[in-house]
Amino acid sequence: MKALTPTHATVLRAVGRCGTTVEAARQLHLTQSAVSKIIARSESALGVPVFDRRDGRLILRSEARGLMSALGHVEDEWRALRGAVGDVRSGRALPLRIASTPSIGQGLIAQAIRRLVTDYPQARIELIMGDAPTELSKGAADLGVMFSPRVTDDIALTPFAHASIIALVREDDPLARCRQVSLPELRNHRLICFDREKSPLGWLIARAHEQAGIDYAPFMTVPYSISAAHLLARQGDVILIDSLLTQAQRFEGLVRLDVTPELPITICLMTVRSRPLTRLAARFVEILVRDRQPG
Amino acid sequence: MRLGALQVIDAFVRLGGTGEAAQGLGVSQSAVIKSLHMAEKELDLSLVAIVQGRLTPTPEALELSRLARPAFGALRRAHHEADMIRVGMADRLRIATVPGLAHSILPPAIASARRDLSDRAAVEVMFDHVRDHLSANEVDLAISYGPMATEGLRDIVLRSSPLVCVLDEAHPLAAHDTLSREVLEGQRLISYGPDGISLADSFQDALGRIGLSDQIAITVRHTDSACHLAREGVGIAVVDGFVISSSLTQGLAVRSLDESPLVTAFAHHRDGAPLDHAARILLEHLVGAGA
Repeated sequence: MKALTPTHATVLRAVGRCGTTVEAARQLHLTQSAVSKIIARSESALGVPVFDRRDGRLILRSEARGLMSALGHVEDEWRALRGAVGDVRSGRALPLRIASTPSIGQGLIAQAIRRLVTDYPQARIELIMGDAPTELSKGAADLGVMFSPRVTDDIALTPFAHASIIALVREDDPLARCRQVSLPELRNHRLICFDREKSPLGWLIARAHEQAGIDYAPFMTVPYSISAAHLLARQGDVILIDSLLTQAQRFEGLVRLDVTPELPITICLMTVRSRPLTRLAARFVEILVRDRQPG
Repeated sequence: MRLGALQVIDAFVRLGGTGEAAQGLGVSQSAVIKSLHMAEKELDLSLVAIVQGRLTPTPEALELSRLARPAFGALRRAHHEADMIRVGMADRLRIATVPGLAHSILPPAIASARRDLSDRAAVEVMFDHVRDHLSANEVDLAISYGPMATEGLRDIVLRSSPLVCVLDEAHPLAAHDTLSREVLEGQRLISYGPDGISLADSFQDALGRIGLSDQIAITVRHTDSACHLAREGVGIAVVDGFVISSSLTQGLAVRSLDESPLVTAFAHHRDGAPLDHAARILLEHLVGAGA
């Protein structure tokens, strides 16, 4: 015996409403013989007769009233499911969750999202500013994008873009006349920068200081480049940050200096090896990584 | 969208792999894989991914399986209705209740209602998800420990009772007339755990207010289990006083709990539509016995 299907429910409900297979067939755009066959199959699947045949009409049996109401729920739920499948397809049901830093989020990710929403205009996207490896590991993010992060074995890293460390000074600072600056030239300036333990960029900048024989001693540490840029406007002499921030955002009154020798940084995409991506996330990865040549 | 394909996706998600789904559905693994790929095309969704060499459900497949649950439930209920017709129970009184009340206040009320109806009424009792059953029109009447405070559903206070302790007569504490929270300290207590669904639960509320929520060592679903465990000397059951009216405590000592907050039993039905005759009579007995 075959199981009852949502199509059976629709046909039984239509026959219940119309009272004849001819009218039900007309409403459902089926042939009358198809409707008759479906009634027979449905009654066989359910194991009970649903209609009495009287004078060429099909009359709902009194004991089948509860069944007909249950079939109404089948129709409603099936219709709701079809609508929900559309939401899954469009990216509305499963948001794309990206963990990143503000400077990457405002630059590379914003550009990629602009392209993604042309393919998926109804997609829902959550940009999470936080520690990407942690957000990924706890399942709060689908993708992470960070500068050379330290990650666990379950997280796959894909380098896809390069940037470098730059210095920002106020335009009234004598250094602002230079186009480039070396770390030894910053020796006597008050530095706002990243913590060497908490930030991969902080670790990189601290190592470059050590290699240049200088103490790495920022007077203020910040989690993000953007925080450093906002603080520089009020206090401090110089900040060392990633070059992506100034590509994405202008800061009035601040001047960018290249750091020599160059301190290159790599931007990596992070995915969880054991967790498949949604189609929306996979398309975002394509836009972000595959459509972009490193460098 | 075909039901068969959806059943394959659901089995794939629930059982975690194509081999497991094939075994569960009694078909070949290749049939499962073929069906999944056809569903991917038909629905224009990505459902299968290869992760570490294994075919794994994608987040879309997991979501689809979750979304399909109400539709599967509706189909199961339609089959259930047909089964009820087959066994002559199409016209029946349908009641949803929580296990704690199902074996105390409900049986005598059903017995009295059936007597009034000349033993004609068929009765179907369902457990748990009381609000969902009622909202979906799957039951005529529901009984629970809390007001539902849900639009379209009416709450009726049936009766209130303090918590009581049920213990083996040989238990040293059975010598006391009443038991206090302090005396129960260090005892192994048995009671109902929160169901995680009810918006309000006067039983859990009473346990919390007397400070016993964190002291329950064994949680059970059914009053019978609590009483059996007490009978076996496993511990002391802390249940509502409605249980005294049942035969569950026969041969056991029932002691009141000092300063116990009251537990309230509620009946619920859909607002608007009139209750059918059998449900109305049952409700009268439930309310009447508490008056």
